[in-house]
This record gives sequence, C-alpha cells and structure tokens, in this order.
Amino acid sequence: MSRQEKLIIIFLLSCAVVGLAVSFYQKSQQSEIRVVPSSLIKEFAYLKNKTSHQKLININTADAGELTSLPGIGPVLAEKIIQYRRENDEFLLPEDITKVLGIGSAKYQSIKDLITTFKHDPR
Amino acid sequence: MTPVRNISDKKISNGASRPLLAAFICLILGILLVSFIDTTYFHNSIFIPANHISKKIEKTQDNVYIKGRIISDPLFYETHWKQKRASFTLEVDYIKLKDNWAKTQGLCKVTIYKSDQKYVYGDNLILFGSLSLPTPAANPGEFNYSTYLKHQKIHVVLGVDSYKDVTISQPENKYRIPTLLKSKIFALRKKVDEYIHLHLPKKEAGLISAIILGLRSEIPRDSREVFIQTGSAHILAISGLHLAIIAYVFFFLLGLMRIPYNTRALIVIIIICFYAILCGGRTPITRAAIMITIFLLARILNREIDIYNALSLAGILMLLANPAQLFSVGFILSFGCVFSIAYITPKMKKIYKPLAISLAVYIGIAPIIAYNFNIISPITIVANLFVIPLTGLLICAGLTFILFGFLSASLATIFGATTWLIIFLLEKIIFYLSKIPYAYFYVPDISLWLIACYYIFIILILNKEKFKLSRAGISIIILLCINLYIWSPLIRKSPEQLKITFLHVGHGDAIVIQFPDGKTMLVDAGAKSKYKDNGREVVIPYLWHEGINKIDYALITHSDLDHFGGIASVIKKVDVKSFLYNGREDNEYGYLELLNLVESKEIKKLEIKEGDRIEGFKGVEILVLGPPEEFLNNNSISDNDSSVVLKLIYKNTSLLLCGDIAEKGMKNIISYANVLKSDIIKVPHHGLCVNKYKSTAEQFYYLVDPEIAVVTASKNDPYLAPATSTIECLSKNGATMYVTHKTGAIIITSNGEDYHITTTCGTGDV
Repeated sequence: MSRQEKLIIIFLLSCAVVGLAVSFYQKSQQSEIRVVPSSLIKEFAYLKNKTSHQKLININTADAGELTSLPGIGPVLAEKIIQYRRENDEFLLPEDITKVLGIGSAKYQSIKDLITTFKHDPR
Repeated sequence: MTPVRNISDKKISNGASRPLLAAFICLILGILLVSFIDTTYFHNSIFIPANHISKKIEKTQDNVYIKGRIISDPLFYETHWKQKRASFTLEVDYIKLKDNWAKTQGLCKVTIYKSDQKYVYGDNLILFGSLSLPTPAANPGEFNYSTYLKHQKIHVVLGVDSYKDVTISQPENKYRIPTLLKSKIFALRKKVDEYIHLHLPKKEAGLISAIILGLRSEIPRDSREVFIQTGSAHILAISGLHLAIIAYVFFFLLGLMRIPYNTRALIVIIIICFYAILCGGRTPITRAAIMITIFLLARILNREIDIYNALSLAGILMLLANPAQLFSVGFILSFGCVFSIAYITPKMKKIYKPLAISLAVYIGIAPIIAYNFNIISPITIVANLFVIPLTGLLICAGLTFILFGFLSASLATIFGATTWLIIFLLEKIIFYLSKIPYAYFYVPDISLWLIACYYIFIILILNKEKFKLSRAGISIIILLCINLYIWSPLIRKSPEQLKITFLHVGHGDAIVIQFPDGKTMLVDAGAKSKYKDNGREVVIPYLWHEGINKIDYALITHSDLDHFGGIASVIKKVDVKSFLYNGREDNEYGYLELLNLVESKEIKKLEIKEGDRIEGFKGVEILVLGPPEEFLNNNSISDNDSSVVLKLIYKNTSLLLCGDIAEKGMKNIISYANVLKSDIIKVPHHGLCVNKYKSTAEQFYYLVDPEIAVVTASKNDPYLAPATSTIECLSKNGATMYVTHKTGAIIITSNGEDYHITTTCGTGDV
C-alpha cells in the first residue's frame, strides 16, 4: 500500500466517523413528543355551561392598550407580545404566551383566567 | 442442486463459445426495449391483437357471455362466509356482449362465486357474468393484481355469480391427447393431495402438498412467514432443487435395475416432464425441467455441456412462449440463482463447497429479494445448509410415502410418520433459526440505482485480478460506499411539508401522517380478517414505498376492528416507538391482545383524552378534542363515541380527524366551535348518520365547514356508507367529497400556505 493510498483511506475513515457523529447528534436532537394537558377545556368550559360571560382579552387580536390592562404586563411586554404575533403564527392556546420572551409561567398563572385565544361566538 | 453442481464442476474449456448466452441477452434487451417503447408511447397496446378480449371492453361490463376452455388446474376454496368458490384461467374463443357471438382470443381469469366444484382442466364452458379489467393497486406500494395477471398474459377477469350461469358445452377437443393427458395428470395430483391429507395432520399435509405437488395455497400464513424470514421460501416453490433430487433418485433406482445409461436418461427425462406438468409448470420448474433435459440429452449425445448455454436455451424458450415473464419475480429469481451458482461459486475455491453455493446464491439474489420482498435475511446462508439436505430427504421420504402408500395402508402409516418427522424437524430448525437476533430485518423499498451499484461492485470484487484491483483499491471503494451511505441522508434535505395519506382499506381507517420534521404518525390501520390483513397488505407496503421503516407514533382512535385490526402486523414488522390510545381497555375482537402485544414489545403507551395537546412536532400543533374523561369509564357510551378526535394545524392548513364519533361524541366537541373549523375533515364514522341525530350532524358539519371531506368506505359498503344525509350535508356546506373506494388512496400535501391533493385512481365529487 502506498503512502498516497494510506492517506486516502485515513481521510475516508475520518469522514465516515464524522458523518456517524453528526447523524447521532441529529438523532439526539430530535425531540420526543409529550402529551400535556392544555387549557383547551377551560377555554371553552364556560361555553359548555353557558353561565359565565366574563369579558376576556384575546391575545391574538388585542392591541397594546388592552394588553397593558392585564396585571404584570407593561408597555414593553405588550410590545413584545405584538412583535411575537407579527413574526410567528397566532397563539393557539393561552399558555402559548409563555413562548414570548419575558413571560414566564408565574406571570402566565396570574393572567391565565383573563386571556383567551379564540373568538368566542357560540352559535 | 446436485446436477447443477455436477454441471458447474465440469470443466468448461477456456474461451468456450456461448452463442446461446449472447442470444439470450439480446432477447432480454430486445424485450426490455420493446416493452419500454410500448408502455411509453403506445400505452400497452400495440402488441395485443385487435380482436383480443381486453379490447372488447373499456370498463366493467355486466351480462357478458364468453365461451372457452379451462387451461389451468381449477382452484376450489371457501371464503370466510362459507361461500364455495372456484377460480381458473380460461382460454376464450367467443364472446357475446349484446346480441351476437364474436370471435375473440386471449386469456381470462374466471371466479365463480357459488361453485359446485365440478370443473376440471380442459372443460369447454359457456359462462355468463360481468367482465372487467383487473383493478390496479388502490394504494401506493400495494401488490398490483393487474400486473401480476399481465405477467401471465391475462388481461381480463370474469366474475360469475353462481354455477347456474355456467354450462359445460360439447367438448370438441376434449379428446385431443395433450389436453386429455394433462387433465389426467391434474386428476392424479388431486388424488395424491387427498391421500396426503388423509394420513397427515393438516399443517404438515399442507407443507408436503406444497413441496411435492406445488399446491401452495394450503400453507398457513404464519409458517410461510417463518420460511420467508429465514430465506427458505424457495423450497416451498418447487424449483430446480426438487427436480434435481427427483432426477437423481430415479436415475439411481433405474441404475439398480441395470438399465443401460441412455435408456435410463430418456426415462428420467419423461418422468421429469411429467412431474413438471404435475406441479403446475410454474417458471422455476419449467426452467429446471428444460435444463435437466438439455443436460441429459447432452450426455446421451456425448456432447460437452456449458451451463450458460443450457440456462440461456431455457430462457430463450420460455421468453418466446411469454415475453412478459421477464418482469416476473419468479423468472428473475430462478435464473438469477442458477447464474449466481455458475458464476460466483467457482471464484470461491477456498470455502467449503455447500457453503460456497449458499453464499453465491445469497450474494447474487439478496438485492432482488430485498427489492421485491423488503427483507434481508443473512441467516439464509446458514439455513440453506440445513434446509437443502433436509428437503432432499423430505422429497425422497414423501415420494416413498406416496408410491408405497397406494399399495398398502400400513406402509402408508409407516412412511407417513417418517415424512412427518422430517417436516417437524425442518420446521423446528427454521423456527429456531428465525429467532436468532439479526437473523433477518425488514427494509423499505430500495432504489434500482442502489441495486445497480451493488452488482457493479460485486463484479469488480469478483474479477479483481482482471480489473487490477489491489487491496487498497477495494478498501477505498468500500469506504466510499460507507461514506455515501452515511452522508446522503444528512445532506438530502427533506421538503418541509406535511403529508397526510388516507389509505383505501375498504370500510375502515388507515391514515399515515408524515410531519415536516421527518416524524411519522399512523392513525388506525384498517381491519384484519382471515382473508385480508390491511396492516400487512396495505399499510406496511405503503410505508416501505415511502421509505419509512419506523413509526414514531401509532394512534388507535378506538377499539373497533376496522380501526385497530391491522396494527398488530405493523407492530411486528415496523419499528413503532410509541402507542397512543384513549385508555379505554375494551375486551373486543382481540383488542386486549393488541394492548398486550404493545406491552411485550416495550412500546411506550400513552393515554390521550380531551384537552390534551401533543407537543414535539416542529411547526405542527395537535389538539385532542375528544374523548372527555367521563366517557371512558361509562359503559353507556359506545366505543365509537369515545373515539379520539384530533385537530391538526400546520400554519394555514388544518385537519380534523374524527374517528367514529356519533351523536354524543359530536355533541361534546360542538362547543369547540372555533377550533372545529378545518380545511380537511376525515368524516366521522365513514359518513354513516342515523336520522335520530341528523340535526346534531348538520350543526357539526356547519361548524367544521370543510373544503375537503374524506370518507373511508368500501365499494358495496356493508353498512351502505356514506349515508345520503351526510353527502347532502357536506355538499350544502360546499365541501368536495373524496370517497376512498372511488379514489383509492388520497394523498394531501401541505407546505403550510396551501395544500395539494392527489389520488391513486379517481377524483373527488362536489
């Protein structure tokens, strides 16, 4: 085996090893799915019972003024929410508001009963 | 493989001319070219004569009379609703579409639904029934019955309701000697089959019938599966091996009688031809019979034999009889095997001979097997070392059992027991071999390019002296292949799209969802009965067709057979990561068995219910809208109503999967008014709707307001799905209906902005 051949073999071997490492890395990055309870039932609970008619703030359509009326949301956070909405899709459920930088689960807990993501118009 | 080995042992003088091999290759290339031109430019038609029966009809035509002759051994079987059926191939002479009889030609596959079992080979019949072109596969990847028949030159099928529509006409040529002889041979085969069943238990008798008489239909599914897994299925299809053993045995016996060589050879040729006809004359056996005849004739004429020329002559004769055979798996495998033995074995001089042969065959045909049967079984190399000698013994024992058994009953019992013992041993060995880890694995469909690369590589390695390949050269090639294998999936970017496939599984659901991030989810898998396992026959072939061999999430909406039936086979053959269900453990049609299977395979079980959210699919949101928790332990709620209901959102495209929900299920999710609105809906319960809850259903469809409504139902649906009220309701809301029995599989792809629909064989109706 000549020196050149050896070099080629070593190069190919290292390529293969790198490839294997990359594919393992990609596999480990793949997220497992989780089944998590959501606020979906709660969102629609009052429609089912048709009792409460509390005015909720729709975080998908509300403007900055409405958003700041929520406890713990100042103009900065309101702007962040609006910006998030512009860059991403609508919020599917109220808990998705935690995806906005600056809103943690504690803040969400304090506002979760006041916000909604759906236009409620029971037919 | 005895004579074959003898042939390859014989020295071929160097540089032997092989005109037949050249002719064979030219013929193959010619057929390939012609069929390519024909299918591309003439749509499979120029080589069919104008008065051919397939040109008489355009689509299914009822009330047709045809007249012809049975040219196959009729098959009689019973369906699971105890209907006795008969099926055979008919050579058609005349056809009456409306008023007049017209001369025609071609072959027709006939099925008589209520048969009285009295047709035999060579009968002339006049039949009345509905004539149609065989249906192409309804789902991508599924077995294509139409192509399968075309390889046998059959282009049309005739369905006959009952034996009353069949008249046996005057047998004008029943007394033609070949026909008469053949019908006698088939009668003999039937008699022997009955005799075997009389003396042996059903399962073993089925195997013996397959191995000795070529009656393959009697082998139970699970034992056939084990044979396939260990790569031993070739002994079930009568092949060169069987014929060679029989030739050898008779040669030996006649030798004991001191019959001169040439007479012996002639007698053996006659026996071989007789046996080949007896077994139904399938591709491998015809090939073997021709080759053994050539071999023996060469010995009589004292000519040198060249295996390539013998093989080529067999090939040329068979292709001239039916060129379409070239594309059938049996033909390719049979010729591939012999070619591999002849070509590869001599190059492995250092290896123990039987092992070398086994290895040669494996190297030669493994990619063809993988391509056609989606299985790679390295265990074959070892298995053959046991299986082939045992099969030899079995054939000898079986023949003795049959020959002596007709003389005396007590002898039959003794030889029957011996035969049984050998079969028992064979089955046990194969069973344990299949249990060895990594004995076999299933692979998704592979591309023809990969196969071509494989063969080029093998030829390079086998002729390394000729191509002046050093060891370094070989290792570089191997390393290059490995790199290609590792890097190609990393570099190739899969398109960022959501792909939803509603498979056609008759009355039942089977939905495959491929997510933009490469994950796969299966929602239900169709029904499973004794005669049709949608998991094995539809879902798995589709997954393999798509290059998928793992399912991340298998979801069963509820415990009805038409939804969960097929999943067991899927779990056995494809790697399922987790199993989602509503948590209700009904004891119905083996639902509990399925749950046990899931547990024994250590698949993660997840319960999902109303209000849950399934997270982890990049870009795709999944909400679970049903069933509510209180439905699950409530026996007054039907299992249909406790179906899992999923809402899937991928940017601008949304999909609602409803399982089989009826009134209560609908009422429960109606309150999710805003979430219900979807582009695509899998219509609940196959579109069935009872008038009792018509208003609920109307409200439900009004809220969902779909553009596309997919209904999963079978042709002549047993429950008459979809109901007219459902159709009315959906069309009132402006939805386009896609019913699986009309469209075949429905494939919807979405890039998030808009979606696109394709179907395998039809369009939706507004």
